[in-house]
Amino acid sequence: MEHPPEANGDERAADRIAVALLAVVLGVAAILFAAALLPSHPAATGAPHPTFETMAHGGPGETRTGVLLLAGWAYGAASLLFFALCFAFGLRKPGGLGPVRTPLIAGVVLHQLVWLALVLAYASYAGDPAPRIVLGFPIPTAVMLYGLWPFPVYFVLLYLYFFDRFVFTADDQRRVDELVARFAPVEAQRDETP
Amino acid sequence: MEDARPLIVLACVAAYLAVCLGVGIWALRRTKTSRDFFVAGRSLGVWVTAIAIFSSTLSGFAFVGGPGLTYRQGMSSVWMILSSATGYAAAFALLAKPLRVIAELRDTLSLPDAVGARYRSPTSQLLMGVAILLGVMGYLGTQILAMAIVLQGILGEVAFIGEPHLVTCVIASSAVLVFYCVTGGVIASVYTDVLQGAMMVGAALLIVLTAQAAFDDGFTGMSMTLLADDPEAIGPWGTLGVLASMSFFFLFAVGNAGQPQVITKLMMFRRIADAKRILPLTVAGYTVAALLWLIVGLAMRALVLDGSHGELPSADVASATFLQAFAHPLLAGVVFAGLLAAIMSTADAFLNIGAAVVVRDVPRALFGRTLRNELFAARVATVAIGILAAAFALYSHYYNARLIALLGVFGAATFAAAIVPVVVIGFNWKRATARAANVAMAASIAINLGVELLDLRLPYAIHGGVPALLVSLALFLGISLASRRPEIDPDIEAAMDL
Repeated sequence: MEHPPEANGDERAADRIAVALLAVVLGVAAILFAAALLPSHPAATGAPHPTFETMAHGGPGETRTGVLLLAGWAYGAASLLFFALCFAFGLRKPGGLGPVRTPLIAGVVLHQLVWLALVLAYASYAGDPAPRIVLGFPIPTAVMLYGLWPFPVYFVLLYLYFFDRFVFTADDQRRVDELVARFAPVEAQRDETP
Repeated sequence: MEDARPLIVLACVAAYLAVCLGVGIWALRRTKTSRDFFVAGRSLGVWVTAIAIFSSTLSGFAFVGGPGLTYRQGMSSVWMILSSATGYAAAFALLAKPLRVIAELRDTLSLPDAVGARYRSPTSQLLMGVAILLGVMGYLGTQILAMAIVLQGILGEVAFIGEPHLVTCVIASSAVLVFYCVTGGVIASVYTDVLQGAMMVGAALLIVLTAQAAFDDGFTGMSMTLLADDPEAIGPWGTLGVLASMSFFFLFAVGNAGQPQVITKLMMFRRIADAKRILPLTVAGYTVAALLWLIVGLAMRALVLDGSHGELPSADVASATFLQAFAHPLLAGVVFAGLLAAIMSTADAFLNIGAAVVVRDVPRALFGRTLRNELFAARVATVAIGILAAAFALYSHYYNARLIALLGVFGAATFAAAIVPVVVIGFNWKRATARAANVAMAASIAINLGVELLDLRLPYAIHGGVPALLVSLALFLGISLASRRPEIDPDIEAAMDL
């Protein structure tokens, strides 16, 4: 009888990330289900513009958003956590995240803080009769465009910096060469077509 | 200069199409095997790969539909583009190594090929092929129709030509597309992508400058106009609200990591070490080109609100109207050519992916072997898919307008729901089982079809693709965790251990 392979420590660590991803997915589903049960404002998803037919109109931000802002924050925070877990899943090697671990956690925390700053900026913007413009846009939109949008550059730089040091080292390249020498020819020959 | 505007635009577009044909002829000599045809012999350089990835992600929707959505709804749809850098970073971190190594070890030439190898399952390969082929037909049909409509608009403006019939434009534009895809396969596709991507970035930068100059006080003046009319439109969630915006963010960031035209290119670059340079270039190129989505839509909304321009007949003409009314004729010409470029760079990638499914994945999954003369078969399949998609686009346009939109939306949502768990996660997690992959793919196809066919509307305008993505992820992770650890071939396991 064939026995299933035993899990080693590294595989159990991968399983834990998978469990965390499943928890986030179920959490997002729960957030959306709970939001669907809330009483909906008539303009929650906008209304026709009073003058221009081809435009929609948002209406009163404070009243139409209300408690939905909390659901929106939770949904956004869960989404960012999902991507962070995916990133960790991808960078992980046998033995864990190595030197990437601390800067990755720091980046995830900073990302969540920028997201929180955007939500809080919107909360004060929604009821403000004279919102301020910063760098060409209202403050929450400026946080979105100049803070949240470019933030993934942090993760790109992390990937760049640790690529040769950890993600794919010279040793890894040697292992790939060995694997190719050992396994590749059989399949390559089988599929080669004129 | 203004009088010559239609001719200048036509000249720019004609020059662009001529270059595409030239690249097709040049690539013909470099395409000698099916490996060249489908994965460019796995020899692409850093810049070529980076530009090909971002330009095939940005379709005509980024130039037409996106600015139209921003014009109509304010900032809501901007979350679709804001999420993309996250998606690229995740895709590279998760797939650049294992997919590239597996491609070399197993000589895989397509994504379903790699899925079959990873899960040791012809069923998984077949299901992935079906999901991709269904999405490809929808995507390709919408792109061909968009290409023909743009060409019809450009030719219609030229007095001595007059507006040609749409069928003529579908035939002409598809002929150019199919020609360079048949002759040069993916090599022609990626090298035309380089031209197309460069044009998109250049056009976006110039358009941003033009838009800023259209207001007395630059973007601050634009924002003040939008703010005075509706603070929500220029607020971070736009008119659709916070939950709709977040659903765009979640679906498009995750979905971007699951686009087959992106992931397939991760099997094409020369050395794994190149990935570290390709990622930042891809993110930078995409971000600049995507500015067009944001700026044109907001600028046109503000220009209508402040009376600088009359109301538009529809939101979808926001880009074209802005170009005709506010851009220099030469810039308009470059951007119109850039628009065709955006459409064609996505369409050519899908044409190649579709051909791979037909000549490689389906025969391998059903009969355990590939076709004898795969390169010839790939060329025939490319022509057949091109003709089928063009016919499908015309049928949908004249007889069933909902059909093509349905398959287009279905395609995008299915790519995300089927590919993300099975490929993006499954290629990094040894515990993932073939059964979980098959159930997740079948569920993603069924749920997305159900949502679209029944025209289900979710509360708070949450995107219809979100339920399928959540269900397929939950099924994939849950079933795998509840199953016994599967056997994996030693070479695949070694590739996943890197």
